[in-house]
Amino acid sequence: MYQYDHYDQSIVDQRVSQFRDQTQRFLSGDLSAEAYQPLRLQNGLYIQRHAPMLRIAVPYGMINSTQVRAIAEITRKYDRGYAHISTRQNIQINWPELARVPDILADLAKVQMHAIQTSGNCIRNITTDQFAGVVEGESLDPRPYCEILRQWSTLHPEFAFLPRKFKIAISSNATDRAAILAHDVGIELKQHKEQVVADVYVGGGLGRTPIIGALLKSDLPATELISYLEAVIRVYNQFGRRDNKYKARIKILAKAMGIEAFAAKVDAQWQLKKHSELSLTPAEIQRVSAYFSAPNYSITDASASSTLEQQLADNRLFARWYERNTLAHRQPGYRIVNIALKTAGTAPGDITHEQLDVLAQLADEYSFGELRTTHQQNIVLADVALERLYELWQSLQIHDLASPVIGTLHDMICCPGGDFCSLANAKSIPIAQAIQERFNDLDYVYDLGPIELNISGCMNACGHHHIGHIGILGVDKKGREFYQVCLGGRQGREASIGKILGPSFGADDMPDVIANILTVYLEARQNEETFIDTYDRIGIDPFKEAVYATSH
Amino acid sequence: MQHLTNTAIDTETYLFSVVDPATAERQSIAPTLTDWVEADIKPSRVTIAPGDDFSGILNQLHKLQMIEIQFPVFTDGRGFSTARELRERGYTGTLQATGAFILDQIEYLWRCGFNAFEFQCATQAKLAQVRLEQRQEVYQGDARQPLPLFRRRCN
Repeated sequence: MYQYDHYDQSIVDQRVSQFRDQTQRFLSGDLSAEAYQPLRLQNGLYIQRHAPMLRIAVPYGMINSTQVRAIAEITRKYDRGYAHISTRQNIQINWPELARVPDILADLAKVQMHAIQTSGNCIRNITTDQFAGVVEGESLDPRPYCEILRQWSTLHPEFAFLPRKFKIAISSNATDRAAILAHDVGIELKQHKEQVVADVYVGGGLGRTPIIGALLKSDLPATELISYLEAVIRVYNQFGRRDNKYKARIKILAKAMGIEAFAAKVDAQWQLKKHSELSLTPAEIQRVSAYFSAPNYSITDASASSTLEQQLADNRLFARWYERNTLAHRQPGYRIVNIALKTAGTAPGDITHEQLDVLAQLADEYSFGELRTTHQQNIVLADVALERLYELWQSLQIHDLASPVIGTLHDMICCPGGDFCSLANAKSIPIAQAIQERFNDLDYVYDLGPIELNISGCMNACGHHHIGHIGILGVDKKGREFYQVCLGGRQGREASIGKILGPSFGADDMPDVIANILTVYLEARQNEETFIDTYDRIGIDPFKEAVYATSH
Repeated sequence: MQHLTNTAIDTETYLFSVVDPATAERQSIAPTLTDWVEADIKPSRVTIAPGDDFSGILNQLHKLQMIEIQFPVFTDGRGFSTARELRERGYTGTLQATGAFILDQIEYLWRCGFNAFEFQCATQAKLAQVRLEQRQEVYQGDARQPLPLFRRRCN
């Protein structure tokens, strides 16, 4: 993965001392709370329900074992011994003390990490496919472009005070695990003979007004990504609404102007910038790409896979984990390993400092010292040799990291909700836990097949409820917490927004509501039909009838 | 390849002025965009508020010596884009930031092409000057330095 040189390091170090100065001025009263707010947000620092929350950037989900150890140490030294993986692949800690945040940032800078622009009305962490560079069917590795755009967006002088936050995702395969159509800008990279080109989508997003992104520009030479994105964001900065924060995202602007008119404005700006100094150079693409070259894979012989087959045959638990949590690798003799952070009794995406240390160790032993965070709030070891899977699995089991639930009902996406977040209308973690407890029979869960259940504690939709097959949204009704259910959403290339089932439910009803929905599916499904296929065939009405017939 | 116009020369000195809105009368109020466009004899300065359509002056930028860009609140970042676009379109005169921008934005303002800053108190102006004298490493090409870091890196 990418390593800082002295330029990158000095930019991050400068930022730490700048933030230290800003925090000191705030604490001494020289800087007003109003002026400090956007400055701290651009360093990932929120003031939350109980304490500040610090969101640490994990650029496009790549993190190495040294960095994971540093995070573990930070949670011990400054926080409560655990961290949380967010739905944008970042890492959050929930209990730091404001005055010590500059020290945390200094500790992070020592391992080439930062919290720059993980919040605020600016360009946020750029995300991509968690399996980039190792998965089959990719037309090229998107990560060099992610890193190039990370550098371009970091402390950009023109775009630090946008109307609202700005999220970019990049994908380079048809599956689109990066959900590019649900982002302010989504980029699909394609290899056209010798040239890399990009399709640029604009105006997707969830939140209060969920919209699927529209194609803005096709076949843009990737060397013009920076000049083109500067044009897009300039138009947004100039014309995006600033009178109402719920209408301030680029999706509202693009819809209001119409995609053609919007594209024309972007093009006029692009004329000022294209084929200029902003064009990427082959040397830079090569320099950055070199950091993402394949690791030193060993050539495995046939005995590796026969040993594995024997182990799979001998151990049902191992076989179950293998089937659920590992994925084909493009390098023969290797698998991609998913580690589900969905242990019953803890919040989805939470991980303890011990587990972080263990994962760092396992990454060193089994996966070239690198890990990835995912927007499903899990962790990936991307390069594990077949003959070592069994050993790895045994170690994971000891530390509660081998839950074989990837892609199942248990693998929920869930925001921190009302337990931590001051924006939330309702708690989300207890709902996730109640559902996990209710469906604790894994055979039943496996029989259900792939189901994506996403929970958000408010309209801001950090839990991506709109694009879950089953989405749950916390709402506030006269000071009480209720939950609205939607069905039929999905992510990826066929992204669509779920439909609201009907009136909302109390927290206690939620496990029953989900049970009813699942029963309708199980009774209606034909052959190997998945939940979402059955939903597409039978529509929302049978679910509605079943749920509202029994809950009243 | 087109060259991004670097009309805000890096060595150029910058101007700081201090206007206390509570007590001081503004010396001379710059005409608004509408007034400027309608004027028969073009004044040498104009003021732009966020959201103003400034397309009417783009082919007459050479007639202006001072463009003032207003920041009614510091979180309204439209002025950053306005400034940079004017520089990209070849404006070489003074570009002054006025209003509620804050000290912590000074480097960004500078990099977007501002070379004059109207502060509301002298201490802030002094601090801003100190900050601008400390040059920092940056990634992007901008109005001061058209070359992004990737065209300047030598390792």
